[in-house]
Amino acid sequence: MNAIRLARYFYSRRYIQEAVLIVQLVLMFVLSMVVFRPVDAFLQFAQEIKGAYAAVDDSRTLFFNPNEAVYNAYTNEIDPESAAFVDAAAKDALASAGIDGPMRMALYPAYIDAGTGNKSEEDSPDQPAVRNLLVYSEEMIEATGLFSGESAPSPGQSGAVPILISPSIADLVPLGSETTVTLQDGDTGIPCVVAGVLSDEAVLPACHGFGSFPSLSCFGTKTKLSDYPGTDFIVMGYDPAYFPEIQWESSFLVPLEENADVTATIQALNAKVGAWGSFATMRELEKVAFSRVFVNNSMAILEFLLLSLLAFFGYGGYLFLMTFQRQQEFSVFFLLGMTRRKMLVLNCVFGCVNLLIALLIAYVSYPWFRQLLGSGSSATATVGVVGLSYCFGLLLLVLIFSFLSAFHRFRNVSTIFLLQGGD
Amino acid sequence: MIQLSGIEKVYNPRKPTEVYALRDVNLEINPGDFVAITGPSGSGKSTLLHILAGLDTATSGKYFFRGQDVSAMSDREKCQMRNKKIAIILQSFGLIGTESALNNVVLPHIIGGTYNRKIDQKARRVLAQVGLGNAIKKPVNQLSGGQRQRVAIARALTMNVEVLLADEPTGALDQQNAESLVQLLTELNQNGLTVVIVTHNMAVAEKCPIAYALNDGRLSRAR
Repeated sequence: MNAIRLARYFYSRRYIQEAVLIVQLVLMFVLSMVVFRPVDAFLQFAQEIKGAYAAVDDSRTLFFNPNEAVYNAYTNEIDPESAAFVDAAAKDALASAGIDGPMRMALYPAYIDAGTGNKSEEDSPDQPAVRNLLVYSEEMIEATGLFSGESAPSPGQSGAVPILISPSIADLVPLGSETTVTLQDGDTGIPCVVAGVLSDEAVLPACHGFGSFPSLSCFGTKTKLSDYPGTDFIVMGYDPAYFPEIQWESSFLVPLEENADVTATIQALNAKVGAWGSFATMRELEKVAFSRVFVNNSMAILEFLLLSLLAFFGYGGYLFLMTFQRQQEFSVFFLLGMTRRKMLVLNCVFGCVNLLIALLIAYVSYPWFRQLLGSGSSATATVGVVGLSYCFGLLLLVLIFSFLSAFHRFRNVSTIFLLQGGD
Repeated sequence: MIQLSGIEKVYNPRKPTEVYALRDVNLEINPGDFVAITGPSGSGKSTLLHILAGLDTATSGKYFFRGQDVSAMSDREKCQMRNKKIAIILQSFGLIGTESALNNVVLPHIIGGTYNRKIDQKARRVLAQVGLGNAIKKPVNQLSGGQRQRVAIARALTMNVEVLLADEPTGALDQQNAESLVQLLTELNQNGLTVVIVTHNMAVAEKCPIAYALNDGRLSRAR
């Protein structure tokens, strides 16, 4: 209560100055939202995709698997029991896909309800259905935050193929344990070591080998971009007339010709899946969004610089001058027993209140500003967290810095001011 | 009540611009004293007053207020001392010009966290007591110099302080207002308030029973 009473001694009869300051701050916040809009848009989209993947129903989701090397190894009837060979084959597949770095493999026991399903009838419901090996580069694993816990051990220990597993089978095959992955034929075993456990929220574009034969058949991805309420399926290689439920559930139908080039098919489907919200899309969006702001868009750079300069010299200068303008009040407060520290805290608190008021006004009025500027309809005018956070953080920093520097100076001259100052 | 022992104040020590403002100042002020400290400009009067008020610290020496070592006090303790025990009135008045006389008088209580309605009523009474009953709501910058100084005195009285320090209180006043102000201070002293006036006005100093002279930073008893 006393703090509010003290505020009147700072702000009384200075309403116009305060109003000008609020308008300045509101404009800065709006400017920050405009400047950072591409970044905000990217983050919002990425969040949606991540949320979509996190909400995926494992029993109905198909995953994409670029590791055709495993399938090739099997279909070409090359001895797949050799873990070293599979490892090398997978590395070749990675290299052909342009992915550098150490190889990691992931095991995901998924199956689908549509069609015949991947999980064979012989599989026990309590046992993981081992069907898919997913290959990722080190960089991708790090970027997606796939691991749920501590970092994985070095791959390839004991000559086994390092794999990532889903959390649902983490109890059966804990981190670091060795296991044998059985391929589709049920006989071929690949010695593997569990190198990591996928987190539940992992953004995981993946593939699911479908049916009892080792060809890629059914792909899917979950995305909020589609109006379809369930999983989006990309189905290939099936006659819709024979499997009507596939047609009903699928978003895309891709007829698979006999002897089709698996690599080309994978790439084509990868592109389709990617366009519908895969991690690759996110990376691309990220690249484009930031390059739009910081590299390709000179106007955005200018606005960004203008914003920062305004914050430092406009707002900072205002605060610095205001502190000096109020030096008489500070001197009187000091004379009457208020510590300098309390004055500093009080000023910073009221400065923050100003910032929050301006932030609220900017947030509410942003759609109107966007309409005024003609840069979009008010319906799509979302307010992003990056622009606001950057601007608020910057202004807060300037606020504290200005008051600290002004009070540092005030500390030396306050006594002199008391002697010489007057009304 | 106030004891100064061997107080020295040096500005810019060990630099070419070194200045000795106070040299070996010894002073004792008892409750109820009415003391004048006189001296020419630059003799160290205001420096001494600032040290007494805890606005400045001595380079060396000891300052005791009611037995407490002020030299060893923290900033916060000194601020509390200024808020509760010592009031200062200045030549420049030390008021917030845009605020009313009443708001200026209650300000120390707001700062000290002791403000309530009774303080408001008391402030009105004290303002009337110093002859400003009709100017309670007026902004201070619309009052005359004499009235402003009375507002400053009213503020000190509302604070219930033990010591009133006055730094050239008549410096900005005409002779009539100056005499009136000294008369008011005398009455307050007769009611038990300890008053210390720093002035170069000998007419004002002569009204004080005890007088000290400061010359080149050295304090000596004049009366």
